Amino acid sequence: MTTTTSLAAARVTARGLTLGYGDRTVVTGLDLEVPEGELTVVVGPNACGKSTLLRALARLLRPSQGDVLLDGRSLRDFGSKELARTLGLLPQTSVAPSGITVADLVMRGRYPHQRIGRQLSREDAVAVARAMAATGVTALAPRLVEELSGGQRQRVWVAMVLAQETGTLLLDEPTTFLDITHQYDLLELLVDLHREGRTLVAVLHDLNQACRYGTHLVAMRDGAVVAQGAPADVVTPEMVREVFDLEAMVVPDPAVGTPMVVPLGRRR
Amino acid sequence: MSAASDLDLGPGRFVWRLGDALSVRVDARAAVVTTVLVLAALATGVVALGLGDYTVPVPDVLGALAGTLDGPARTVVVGWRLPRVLLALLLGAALAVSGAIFQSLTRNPLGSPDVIGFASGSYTGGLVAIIVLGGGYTTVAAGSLAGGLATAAAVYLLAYRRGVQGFRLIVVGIGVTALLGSLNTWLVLAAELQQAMAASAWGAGSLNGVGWPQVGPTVGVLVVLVVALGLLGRRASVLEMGDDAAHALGLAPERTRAALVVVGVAFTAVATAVAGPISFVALAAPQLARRLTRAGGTGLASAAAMGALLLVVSDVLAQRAFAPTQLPVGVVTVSIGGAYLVWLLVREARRQ
Repeated sequence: MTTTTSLAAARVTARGLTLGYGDRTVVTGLDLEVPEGELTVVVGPNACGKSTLLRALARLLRPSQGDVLLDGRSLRDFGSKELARTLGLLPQTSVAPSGITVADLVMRGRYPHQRIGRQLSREDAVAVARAMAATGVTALAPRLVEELSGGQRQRVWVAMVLAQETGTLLLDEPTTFLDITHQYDLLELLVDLHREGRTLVAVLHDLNQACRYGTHLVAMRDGAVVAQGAPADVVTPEMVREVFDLEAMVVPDPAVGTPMVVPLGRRR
Repeated sequence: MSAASDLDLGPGRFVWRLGDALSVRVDARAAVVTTVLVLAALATGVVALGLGDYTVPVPDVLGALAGTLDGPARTVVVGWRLPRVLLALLLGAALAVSGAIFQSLTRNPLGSPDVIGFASGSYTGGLVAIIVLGGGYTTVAAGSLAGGLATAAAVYLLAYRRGVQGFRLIVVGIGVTALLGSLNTWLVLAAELQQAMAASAWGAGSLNGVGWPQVGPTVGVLVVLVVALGLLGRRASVLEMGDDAAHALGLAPERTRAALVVVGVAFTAVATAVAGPISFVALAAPQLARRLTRAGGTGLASAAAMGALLLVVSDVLAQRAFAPTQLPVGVVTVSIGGAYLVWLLVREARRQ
């Protein structure tokens, strides 16, 4: 079921990936190409292996079979700091150490660029300032992270990953735990980052958010990729049924024209 | 020297740069607090040098230290009392650093080596060294370190489940502490009377009877540990952000944690080898220092300064509070620390 995207070069490629925890296999023989410069969104029902896949793409999980290539090179061949300068990850759950300020947390994103004797070089300061400006948290710099609202805190974590200055960003369910306003706020931020030329991969729960904001959609079920491509091409009632076991209509989103999934449910 | 940075790091915080090669983040409040604590610890030390059956006035103490004063006062101050005061300062700092490391690793103010069993393990190792091998400073030191590391390994493995979480480590550690407590009691009961007495005296945590022979090795080991910690310190602050984030930033979480555990246990074992188990300095000092500096992160320097002050003050109290009866300093730190622990638990309970 692999659709080849010949328009853009693949930034991250997974080949024959088999992933699991201990004896439990979650993903079997998965092939995937993350096209360069796209905002790829991974969707699928709970426990379909989408977060597991993201962890493997970030080398947080070692594949039991297969390989992940970044710019054509196996992840295994990257040094740990070298990888961290190329690929950034926003983990699903992140708890800031107590008592640290926003600036302090964002600065920790500079770790892969730093050496002994340089706690904050000029380049570091510039990168941190730029990351905070891009996420709109500059004014929060001296505040304590634990005093912020959920939406602000998530922006600060995104700033931390941005300070890493990687061309590729992976985000594991970045909108979970946010109220709807802050969910859209964060998604718009992802669009801005994408427009600046970054390659992004985000795991999202909401199919309509995925259709509206993703430029490339990957739908997973039971550890396999069921469909991938531009949302307008792949989101159909059949696909929604196949992936989510849900009867739905697909209509153009009245606001932006992207596909919108309207579940039919039983109360027709 | 410039504070050229557009970042607002908060009041009194800036970056000090020397060309492109060196940049240091400065927290004025933390720097002032640490300096004041160090001065207070040193001042207490000077006073302590003059106190005792043979009282020496402070100017004479300073004269003896500077070498401008000779005679019996110099013998008493430099020969007899100075090693004890130096060790109180150094071991207090070592215990506090150990506590700061483990509190950072477990992300919990209760996660200090005296609570999670590593100090008990050091004590067990030391006891075995005294009872089975007959004692001697080097043997006891080696025993303490081996005991601490073995306990750390045991706690680590028991708490391991696809990586180690702070809270699991603490709960398992408390259990292991209880087990080791009964083992320690049994070891003392089973030993020959003379060895049991030596072990008990050492077991209360005391600086009575320490002298210059212990200072050299202690300083040597501490220098090595401080260098090791200097190389690991920044990794500890990245590790505090959680394993996934640390991994994504290019750090190997498990390896870093293991290295920090070894260094942290070694800091505790150094103190245990010289003075026996001194409780609560490791627990209380880093947290007290943090309250004063109001800074996040590991705060190793301020914790060390606070630990030095706590132990040197405790030792003065231990010697003078019920003079001529000499209390073991461990009794004093347990009393101070017990009060702190009650306060901490009440505060945590109220928060939830």
